[in-house]
Amino acid sequence: MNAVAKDWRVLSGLAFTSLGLVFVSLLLGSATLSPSSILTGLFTGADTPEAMIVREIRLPRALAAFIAGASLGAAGAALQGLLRNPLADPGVLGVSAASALGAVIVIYFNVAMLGFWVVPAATILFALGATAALYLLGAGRVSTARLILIGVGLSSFAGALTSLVMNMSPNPFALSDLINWLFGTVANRSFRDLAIALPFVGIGLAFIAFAARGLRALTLGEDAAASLGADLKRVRIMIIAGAAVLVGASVSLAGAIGFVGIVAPHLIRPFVGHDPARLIAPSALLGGIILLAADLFVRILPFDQELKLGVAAALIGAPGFVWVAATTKRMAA
Amino acid sequence: MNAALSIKDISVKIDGAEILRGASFCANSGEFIAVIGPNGAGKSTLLRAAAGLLCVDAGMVKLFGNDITALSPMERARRLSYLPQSRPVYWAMPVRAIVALGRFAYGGGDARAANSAVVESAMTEAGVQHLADRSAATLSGGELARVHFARALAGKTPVLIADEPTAALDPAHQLSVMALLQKKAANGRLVIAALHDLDLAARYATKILVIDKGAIVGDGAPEDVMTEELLRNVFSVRGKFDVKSGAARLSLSPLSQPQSSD
Repeated sequence: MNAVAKDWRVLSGLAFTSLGLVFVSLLLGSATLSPSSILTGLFTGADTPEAMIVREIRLPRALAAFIAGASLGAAGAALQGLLRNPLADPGVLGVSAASALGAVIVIYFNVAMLGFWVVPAATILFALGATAALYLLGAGRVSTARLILIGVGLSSFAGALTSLVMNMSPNPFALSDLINWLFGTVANRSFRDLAIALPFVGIGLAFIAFAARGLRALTLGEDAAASLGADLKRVRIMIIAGAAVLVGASVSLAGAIGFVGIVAPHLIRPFVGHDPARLIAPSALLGGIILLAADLFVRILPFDQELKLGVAAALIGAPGFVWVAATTKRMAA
Repeated sequence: MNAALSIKDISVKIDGAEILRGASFCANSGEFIAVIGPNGAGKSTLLRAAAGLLCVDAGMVKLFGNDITALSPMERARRLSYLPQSRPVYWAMPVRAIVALGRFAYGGGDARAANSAVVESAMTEAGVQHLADRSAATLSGGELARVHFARALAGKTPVLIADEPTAALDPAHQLSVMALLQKKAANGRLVIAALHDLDLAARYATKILVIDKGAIVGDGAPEDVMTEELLRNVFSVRGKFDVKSGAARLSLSPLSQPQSSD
């Protein structure tokens, strides 16, 4: 079977799983609804309580989880291809930490009150700012190994600033809000939140798709890739900017959530011949599935206080991270 | 008529250290040029500059008459393939897909490229067709080196630059790689290879380029360039070069006593 047909099979399998999982997440919750009332709620303008729950609460929440996860899956796959390291992740480059810092700052300084758009704008701007800083600090000149180290430094710095802001917060409510951003949740998301994030998700995916072939060439290292005709400067800019926009959009939807960007591509790799370009689309779908499943899980757990989505993701993802780190053989001659 | 590759007075500094000092040479289609020199002489830097992969601080590299920096990466890649000294494969892709990357500059469907006759013949020439469906993760260093070599051949470019193409290969494969490069040159391509094995260089190359401390100190036919004096001064070895029954042979032995660099 050729690669194209195989990719379509993988993608359609993941797409059907995604749709099925969205449907299941509409069914389950504090009130279990019947499949027929979900269809009524989705496809008619009925304003019964069940229809309202489906349209106004469960559907936006499910889509928010899926889109945030898909953004992280695509961003993770793209950054791993660029850095040629299966452990690279939006978190590794400090983009997630900086993005969450943006949210925390606008909340702490009460800028967030200005409008619903302030927090998403801040997460995206800070993700882009972190990325621009990364690039100015040397993405064009230094090796990718050094880029990872710069990212680690940036991540620690953003984390320290976030702690500083939390320490200074006089407002106990602000503190609980901060926790939502730092641990991640998609509770109470509306279609308005989705409408703000979606264009950025689209832009980020387009950037990454445009540079994907260059990632395949990078499999042979930077010199070989450049000699093959890949425009490495452009590949770096497109991948870093695309990943930043995707991470900013996902943080605005769900807060800082780690590990999805590592686990999803790792699971997909064997199904796409380990090709870093073919990896991206299925990793996005699987990232969405993972986060949607994690959200379903936190919703049906019988706890008084709902477990934060990011905590659930880390409970599954952190052992996954260790597993990838321990089993990955670095291949270089 | 333009030379396939002309290097004019290039200098390269890396972190303040002058790696190349005013190197110049001209190379025509059909030549097989071996670049030799001791460790740290600047061979790899010269090849990378010739391949348009690094910015030179002075001088110019021309590929078929065009300033190489003025070509787009794709235009350059359709004229020149380059085999770097380090040959990593970062993902466990199948061999066929890696060799197909040699067709990168021709765009379009990489999946189609993987099945093309060009890729098949490159794998056959490099002796890796039996590995076609193996994952790169399962290959030995020497097998991986031949896969990279096949990738470089798959570009079918008029200029082929290879940095130590025989490194990590067993003797039989070293000879077959050299014979293949010789054949490519005889068929009208320009082949430039950095080599450490002076004997292989003398036997297969049509021209020898000797580089020492960043400068080109010898440029010509093997028997003219590889004199006892040059071998002693540049490589600190006692060498005797002779041509017997059509095959050039070079026998090397260590200098009996440390030689001052006079």
